[in-house]
Amino acid sequence: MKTIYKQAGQCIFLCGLMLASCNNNLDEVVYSELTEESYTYTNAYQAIGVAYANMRGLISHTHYYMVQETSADAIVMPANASGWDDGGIYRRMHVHTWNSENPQMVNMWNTFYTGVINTNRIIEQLQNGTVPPPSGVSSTSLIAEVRTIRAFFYWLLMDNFGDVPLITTRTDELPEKTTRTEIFQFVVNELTESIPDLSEEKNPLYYARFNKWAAKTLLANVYLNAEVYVGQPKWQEAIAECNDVINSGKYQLETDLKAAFRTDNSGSSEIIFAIPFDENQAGGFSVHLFSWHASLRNKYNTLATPWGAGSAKGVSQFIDTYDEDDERLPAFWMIGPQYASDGVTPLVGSYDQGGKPLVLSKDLPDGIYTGEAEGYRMNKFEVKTGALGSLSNDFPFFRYAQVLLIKAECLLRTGAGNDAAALVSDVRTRAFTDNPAKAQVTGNQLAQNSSYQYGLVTDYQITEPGDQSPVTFGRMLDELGWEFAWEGHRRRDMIRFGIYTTKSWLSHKPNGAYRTVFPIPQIAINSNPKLVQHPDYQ
Amino acid sequence: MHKNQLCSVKPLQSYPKHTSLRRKIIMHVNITAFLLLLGCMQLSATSLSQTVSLDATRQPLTKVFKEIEEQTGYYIMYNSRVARSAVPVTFKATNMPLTDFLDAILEKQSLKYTINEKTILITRSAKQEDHVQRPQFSLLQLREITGRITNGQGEPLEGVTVSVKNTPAVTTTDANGNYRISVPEEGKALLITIVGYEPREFTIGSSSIINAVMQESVSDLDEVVVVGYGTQRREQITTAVASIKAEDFVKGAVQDAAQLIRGKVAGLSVATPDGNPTATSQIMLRGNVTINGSTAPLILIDGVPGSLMTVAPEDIESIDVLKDGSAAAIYGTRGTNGVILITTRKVRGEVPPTLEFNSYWTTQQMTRELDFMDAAQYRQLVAQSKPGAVDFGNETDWLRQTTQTPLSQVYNLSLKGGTRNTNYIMSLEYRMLNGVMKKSDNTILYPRLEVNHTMFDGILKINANINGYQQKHFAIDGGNYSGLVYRNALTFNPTSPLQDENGKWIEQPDKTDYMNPLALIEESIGENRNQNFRTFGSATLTPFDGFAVKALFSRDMYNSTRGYYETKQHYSTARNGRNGFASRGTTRSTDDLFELTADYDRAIGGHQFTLLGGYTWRRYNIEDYWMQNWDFPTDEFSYNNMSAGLALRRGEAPENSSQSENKLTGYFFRLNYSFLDKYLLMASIRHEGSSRFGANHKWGNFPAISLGWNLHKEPFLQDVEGLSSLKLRGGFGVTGTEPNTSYMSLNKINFNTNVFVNGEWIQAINPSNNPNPDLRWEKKEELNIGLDYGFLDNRISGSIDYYIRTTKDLIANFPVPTPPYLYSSITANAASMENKGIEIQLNATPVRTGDFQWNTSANFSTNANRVTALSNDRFALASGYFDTGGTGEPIQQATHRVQVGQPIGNFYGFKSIDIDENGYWIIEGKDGSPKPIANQQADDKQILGNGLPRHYVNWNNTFSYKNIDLNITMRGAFDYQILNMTEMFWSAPVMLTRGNLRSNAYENVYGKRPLADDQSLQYVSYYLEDGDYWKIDNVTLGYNVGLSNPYLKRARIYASISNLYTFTSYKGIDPEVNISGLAPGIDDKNRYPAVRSYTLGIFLTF
Repeated sequence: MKTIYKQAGQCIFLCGLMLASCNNNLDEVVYSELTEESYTYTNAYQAIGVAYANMRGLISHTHYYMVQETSADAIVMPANASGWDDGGIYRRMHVHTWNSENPQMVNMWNTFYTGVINTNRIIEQLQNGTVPPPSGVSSTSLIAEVRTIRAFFYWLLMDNFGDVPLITTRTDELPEKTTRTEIFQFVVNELTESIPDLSEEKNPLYYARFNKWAAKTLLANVYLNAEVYVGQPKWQEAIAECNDVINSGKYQLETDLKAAFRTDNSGSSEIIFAIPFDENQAGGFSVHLFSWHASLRNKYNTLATPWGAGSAKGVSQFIDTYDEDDERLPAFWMIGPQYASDGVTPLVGSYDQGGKPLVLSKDLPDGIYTGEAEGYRMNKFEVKTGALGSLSNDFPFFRYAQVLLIKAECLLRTGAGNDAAALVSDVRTRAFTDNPAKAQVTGNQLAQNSSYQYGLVTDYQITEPGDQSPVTFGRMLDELGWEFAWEGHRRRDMIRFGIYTTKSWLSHKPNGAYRTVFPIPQIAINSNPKLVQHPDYQ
Repeated sequence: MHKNQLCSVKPLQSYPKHTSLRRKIIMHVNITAFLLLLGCMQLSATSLSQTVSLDATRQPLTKVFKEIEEQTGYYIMYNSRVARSAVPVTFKATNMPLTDFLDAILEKQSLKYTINEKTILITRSAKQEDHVQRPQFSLLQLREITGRITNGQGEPLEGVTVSVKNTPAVTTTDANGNYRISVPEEGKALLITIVGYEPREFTIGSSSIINAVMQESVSDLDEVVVVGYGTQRREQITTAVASIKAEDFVKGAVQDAAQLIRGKVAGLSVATPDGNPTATSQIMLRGNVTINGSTAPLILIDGVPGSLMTVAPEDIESIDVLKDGSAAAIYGTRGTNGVILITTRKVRGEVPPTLEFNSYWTTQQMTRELDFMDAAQYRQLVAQSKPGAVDFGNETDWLRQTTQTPLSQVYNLSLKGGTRNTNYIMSLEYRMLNGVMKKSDNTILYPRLEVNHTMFDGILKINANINGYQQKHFAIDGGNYSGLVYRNALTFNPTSPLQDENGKWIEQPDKTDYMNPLALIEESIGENRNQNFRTFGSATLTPFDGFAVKALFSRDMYNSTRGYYETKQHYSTARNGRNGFASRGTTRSTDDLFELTADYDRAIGGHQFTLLGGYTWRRYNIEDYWMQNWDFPTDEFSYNNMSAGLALRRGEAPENSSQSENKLTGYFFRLNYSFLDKYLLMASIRHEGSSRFGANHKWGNFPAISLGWNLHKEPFLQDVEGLSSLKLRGGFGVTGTEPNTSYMSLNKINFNTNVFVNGEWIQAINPSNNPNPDLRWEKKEELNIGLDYGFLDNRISGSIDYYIRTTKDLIANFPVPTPPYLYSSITANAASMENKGIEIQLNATPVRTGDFQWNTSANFSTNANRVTALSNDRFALASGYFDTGGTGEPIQQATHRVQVGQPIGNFYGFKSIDIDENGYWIIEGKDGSPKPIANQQADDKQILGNGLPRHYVNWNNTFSYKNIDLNITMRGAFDYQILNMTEMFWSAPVMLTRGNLRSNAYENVYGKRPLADDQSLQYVSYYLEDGDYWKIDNVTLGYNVGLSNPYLKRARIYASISNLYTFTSYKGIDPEVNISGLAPGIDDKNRYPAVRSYTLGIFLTF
């Protein structure tokens, strides 16, 4: 037995040796991954950049951009023979029956809060020195800029969702809702505090960033809608911010209607704040794919093919409001027979117009299901020859024309109609180059009712006019519609003019005044017991 | 001596008495073949007395035999299997006569002996005892019968006892399985017996040749079952383990190891939803136990982790499935989905060089062709001016154009041989598979070499292996065969020509998802080349009896190189202006394993212990590179000159590379204890850590305990007529599931998004995920209670198992609130699920006559799944559900809902109940009243069915008559629904604008009218069908050619049909659809069609 123990002992010794040679360290070895703890920040622009980069997500067909348009009266996304029903997610936007599970709600909520949470973190990193500022730039001004970005997201949050959680630090506490009024105040305070520290430069370094003027335009927008947000108009405050921007002299109206929307528009004198895109570096702007018919590919020999027969198109009642000489109609909308790049070969349909020439017609049977060639399409943003799936056009989120028209509207509302009309006429000038007289409007005109023929459409005809009471300052609203079509303004403007939930258009009928804000996404409520759905959406 | 020649007598008996040395030599020569059959036989010799003295307490039988040999000088020959099954001996004797002694000690062992000269042959007595006693010889001889005895695979069986019933005539077969026996006058029946096989009896008629195929005993308690880190006798098993040997495998053409055991194991669902030659089976054991964790069972090939396709199916000797938690707990964090232990064909002991050749040829057809409009039917739609219908004036059967009648060939050649000290097995398999869709193929070469060497008198055993595979197949962009080919073959306009007058493929890129299917095939070049190289070996040191230390080292290398090109004539140019598109990719992985185990066997009195201790260390590292480019100057380069494309230079084309690693290390211990072979205990624990777990939870413990009680050994059941075995067993075990990928717990950042600063795009720093340092393993607790039974000498046998498995801490991409979290989901452990089920296995031999035998086995399993929680104290999903699965464009809805209190697999959507006069769906609103589908609200959705079969039934039959055998495998799945996607998409008139339709598209819905031409596609309950099916899955007819060729020992030919016929009311192509994941039961419109296979095969042994 002794030998047995000896042998066993030897075995155990050998085993011990082998075990000792093994490594039981279970820390993860990373190769193509990086952790925040191990990374040393060197470039502050890389650190704050993500807050801007996330904004690109807003400009898609299931996000902020088309929510602002298709829940309003100028653009609709109906189904057609090529598809575009997608479980009714676009239809519900048009007829105001969206619910807390609509992906658009989830997308907006998530992107806005991604912006908030990222900026909270970056502010902390700038404050504690984890992210050092670039040489020649102070931490203070970078912090002011990031706070402005955060205010931008909070503005979008309270504008779209009303009462929402307000968090300003890096935390994983489950938050409760804060009132829209408090958020409004927060946004105003943040902007007011930050603006003095922001750069006044308008140069490539500050392009598509919040310099002082972009922040002031943002604040002007906040004030413009203050009555909606907090029940208290702030027209004068808005005018003051606009005046600062105007008086800075840094921005001018382009004389060319489409200059601010070209593929290479980043040098445009009119752009105050843009969300920049690049077909390769920063994709996601694909309005040509979701608005256009596939055969339009041959018009500009684009490499990408639009999705089916396209969907986003003009509401015929809105198109009808344009003056026949308004050059913005053909400049911003694609109309009539379409030809290949040679200009003579007719493009043809593939679905219900299979093989027949593609003629984009104005009238829509309803907002639910249309023919493949029905409806005017997006023409505002240039689609360059050989375009890819993503466009390189920067999206002008704030532009000078808006500053002028905000001021004009505030003046109009505060009784200075003629001053307002002068600004509006300035903006109209480039739209009536063949008919300059028509560019001029008067204060009285701006105070008139809208020319929009509201009413429910069934089979191309208005069948239920619905509320026909005049729209106060309706012509001003029309001016905003003509100028800012395809720029994602329409919902906010309609709400401010009080008709978003009262008028009927196409297949839309009023479906509750509470729909001026969207429901909190179900997914956010599901996982946060402290978060309560808005009462009307419960 | 003359007498011996006349009357067939066992060869051992015929040797003349000579010197001990001479006898030894002769015996060695003659029994070599015997050894081949019996495996490890033990032999020794001395000569002393005829009486035996012994004082043994719980001594192994082998030790007693050794004692007898020493005391008497007799040789004792026995099968090592007999020895393993033996009960330890407790006996006292003083100078007891040898025969009395043997009677006494062997009685309890169900063994019997025969003494021939100085040799004692020990065999099992159960089925033989009446027949082999031969008190006298008859000198009368009428005639001679010859024949050949083979096993189920047609391999010759040596040493088979062939006797004439009720006469003394007896002989054994030679190495080629041949025998010759003289039949006395009174002989009426021939009895053929051998240990481990069912005895067979043949009426002696006029025939002078009687060949027999022996079937292995249906339920052999001596059967050795492979369990984690070792083997165990079936009788001692206390857990739910299924063991399938090669002879019971599904015959015919199989694509991977799982198909070999399909329908053989109760509770193990094996599905092959498509006929793609590169497809591997989906396996699910005892229901779905996870949400986002890995669902793959741990697959070990000869103890080394691998996959279903690591080894050629033809090289597999047995597959053992550890089903319950107490069996799998020894594998800790990877054990939850079950453990599949694949044992490759082995060589044992001394074997003469044996060459085997196995080959089969297969062709296939689609099981069902879906009825789409042909050109004439389509033209009627054009005539009716249906929107979207356009007549292009031709007639094309796109399905014909894109499918083929494939021929697949498989060749397997193996060679084994060696001495007692060194032996080898090598094999080479070449599989050249083709599928019904054009260009779909899969060519694999499997080389394998295994060498065993024993030295230092058996103290050191060395095993070395080299194997792997080299695979090549057509692939789209590095992935699989494109489902778009089949889908477009169904939906492309049947009046469209293939090509225009200039020979250009017809394409209509304006239509979404509409592409010329033939051009997809013809204008793409793709090849994946994968190599797997496994080197592993072990050294086992046995310093003293009962104690062994084994070190296992393994390195498994995988390399994949992928290339793909789409020409300028391909759809990608037509639609996306690619102008020639190429992609290249390569993957390399290394899987290193080191395991050290020690086990110790000890018997003290009636107590028997086996102790196992071990350490395991595994590191897996994978690297991947992938790039695309397009806009090539010419098609000539194909994918071989990536830099020639312009897209990469323009910054349009992507390039990727990554590397990741994970590590697993653990310690495990196990105790097996049995008392008097009646009371059994198994207890084990594994302490294991994984690098994939969060910093706060690196290590976990996985204990298991199980108990068994061999009731039939109790005195009160000894006298029960017909009962041959009865065992009650129960076990409880904890197993885990690792996260699917590495680094999920870390606070990761990336540079995957750009920002425009100062006129240029710079990379922004972007957090990648919500970190979770608390991430840990999923924990499954399983209780299993089972009963093994056997009646009538185990002619009827089987088992019944009941289990409850509770999975806690399920890893899920759990929704978390944004804010405060950056992203709306976190990978966390915060859900639980329960699976309960019953499994019943029944094996029987209903008929066993001389020439004819029918073996049948059936199993039934049922599983009830329930999600019990989708929250824990930290993460609460207040709604109690989340939606998953997708219909795809243009419906864009979730198909399934995972909900607390409900099973996984629930279809969730609108319940259609009618159609209105205009042809629009009427659905059931949430208040139960009908409403038009246009007024749908999210809360009108309801549970519409479930895509996971609740019950499975399998029934396997083997008939053998003389040299002919017939295998019929049938199986069915019941109580589930299928979402018929092809109906949902193409039986709707609205889709006419996007291509061809099913020929039933304009038939009445709900007996009223067809759907409106503009009723948009909807996911409604109308398209859910019952999937219940009963499938005649495999029928194989084999014939073992009677041979008496000195070189060719065996020849077998067979014909087989797989997926022969399906009884079902389901209207789609095949009701066997996807069962994995959270959205099971979808008959994907893009799936590669299911096929029926016809196979002819041959098997030769030299």
